[in-house]
Amino acid sequence: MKCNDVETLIIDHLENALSGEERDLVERHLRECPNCQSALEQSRQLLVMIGQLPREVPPETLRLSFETMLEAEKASTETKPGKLISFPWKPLLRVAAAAALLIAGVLYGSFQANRKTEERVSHLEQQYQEMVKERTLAMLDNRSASKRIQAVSYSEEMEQPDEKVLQAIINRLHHDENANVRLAAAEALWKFKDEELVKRALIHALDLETSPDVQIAIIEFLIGAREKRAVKPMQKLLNEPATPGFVKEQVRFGLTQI
Amino acid sequence: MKYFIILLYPIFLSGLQALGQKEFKKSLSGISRVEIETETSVRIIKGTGSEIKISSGCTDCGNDGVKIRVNEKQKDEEDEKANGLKAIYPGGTDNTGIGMIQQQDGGVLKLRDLMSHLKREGLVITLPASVALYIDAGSLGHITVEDWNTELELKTIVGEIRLKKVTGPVTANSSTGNIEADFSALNQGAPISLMSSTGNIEVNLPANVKASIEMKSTMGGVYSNFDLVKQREDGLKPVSGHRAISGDINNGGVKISLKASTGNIYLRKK
Repeated sequence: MKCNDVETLIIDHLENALSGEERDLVERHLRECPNCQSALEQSRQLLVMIGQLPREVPPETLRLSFETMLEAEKASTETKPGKLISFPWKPLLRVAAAAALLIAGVLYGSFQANRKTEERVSHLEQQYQEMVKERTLAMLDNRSASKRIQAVSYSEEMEQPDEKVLQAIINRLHHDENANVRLAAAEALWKFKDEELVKRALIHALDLETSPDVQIAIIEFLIGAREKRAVKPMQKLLNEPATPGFVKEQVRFGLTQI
Repeated sequence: MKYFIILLYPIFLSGLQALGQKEFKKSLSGISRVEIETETSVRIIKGTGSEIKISSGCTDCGNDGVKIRVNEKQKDEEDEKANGLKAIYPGGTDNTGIGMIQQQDGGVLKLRDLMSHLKREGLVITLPASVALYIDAGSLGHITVEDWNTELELKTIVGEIRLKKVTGPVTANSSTGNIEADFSALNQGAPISLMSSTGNIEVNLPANVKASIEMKSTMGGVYSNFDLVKQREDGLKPVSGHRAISGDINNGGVKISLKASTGNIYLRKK
C-alpha cells in the first residue's frame, strides 16, 4: 500500500470505519512511514478540534427576522402575480453568456490544437521534402538505369525546387548515357519550367541531344515554356543533315508557336 | 618461369576448349551485373547454374538468312592456313576465345564483341536470372530475352527488342526497331521505360497488375483495351502539359512509360 492510498483512508481509519483487512494494511504502512504517521496525527488533531468547537445556535432574533422576511416575500408574490409571467431576461442572458464563453473556449481550444497540428504537419512535410531530396540525390548516381529514372521522377514530389537537386537532374539530362533517363529528366524538369536555371539547361540540352525522342521532348518543353532563346538552337537542328525528318517537322511546327 | 607457365596453362587450356566448342564459360559468383556490347543479335536464355555461357551463332535470333551464312563461316574458321596463328582484332585482344573481350570491374562483368556484324551470326547467352543485364546490340542486332525477372537495360538502333515472360524493371530503347514486351507480372521496385523513335511499341500486361501508365506517341497512335483515361466530370477532354495519356491500372503501382515518336503504341490486357 502506498502513501497516496493511505492518505485517503486516514479519516476512515480514525473513525474506525475500515474493514479489518484495510485496517491491517494501513497500520502496517503507518508503522514504516513517518510521513503518514504525521499526516495521521494532524488529522486526529483536526478531528479533535472539530469535536471541541461549540455548537452554534441561531439566536432567537434570527428566527424572527427570517419569518418576517418569509411573510413579506409571500405577500409580495401574492400581490404581483403578473410579474412572474414576464419574459425571464436575466436567466436567459446568463445562459447566453455561459454559451458564449463555452463557444469561445471551444474555438480557442481548437485553434490552439489546429496550430499545433499545423506546426507538426509542416514539420513532417519539411522532413518528407528533405527525405525526397536525399533519396533523389543518392539514387541519381545508381548504376541501374531504372533506378535513375525512379530518382528523377521522385523529384516531382518536391514542392520547392532545391537547386542541388535541380542541378543533379539537369546533369542527367545533359550527360546520362541512357536516353530513357534523359527523357525522364526532361519530363521531370517540366514542373520547374519557370526556373531560369531549368530553362537555360533545356536550351543547352538541345545542342547536346542526339536521340530524336529526347530532342522532341526538349522541343515541346521549350515551346510550352514559350522560350524565345530556343529559336537559334532549333534552327541549327533544322539545318543539321543528321536530324531525322520527323524531328525537323516538330521543329518547324515549334518555330511557328514560340 | 615454371610458375608463369603453370599460371598461364589454365587460361591457355580454357581458351583452347572455347575455341574448340566456340563457347565461353565463366562463373558469375560475386557478379551482380553483366554488360554486353555487340553488333550482332543476342538471345538471352535463363540458365540454372551460376555461370555465364556464351555460344557463337544463333539460328533463332531474328536475323534473316542466318542459317545459310553459318555454314560459310564455319569454313572460314577451319582455315588451315591459320594454324599456329591467332585471330587478332582492331578493337582489342580476345581473352574469351570467342572473339570477345572480357573485363571485370567489381561486381560488373563487361563483355565487348570484337567481331563485326559481318562475321558474327548472333550470340546465345545462357546465364542465371539473378544478375542485372545491360545489352547494347549495336546498329543491326536484335535482342530477345525470355523468362527474366531482374533488371534489363537494352539498346538497339535498327534491331528489334523482344521480351517474353519478363517482370521488369526494364529500360529499352530502339531508334527504328519495334519493341515487344510480354509481362508475366510486374516488379514494383523500379519503373519500366520503353522508347522507340520510329518503331512500334507493343506491351502485354496481365489484367490484375498494379501500374501507373504514361504513354505518348508524338505522331503515331496509342491503342489499348485498358480503361485508362477517366471521363472528366465537366465533360471536357482531359488535357495535360505533355499531352501524354496517363492512367492507373488497378489503383496504380509501378510507373510504366511508353514513348514513341512516329510509331504506334499498343497496350494489351492479357
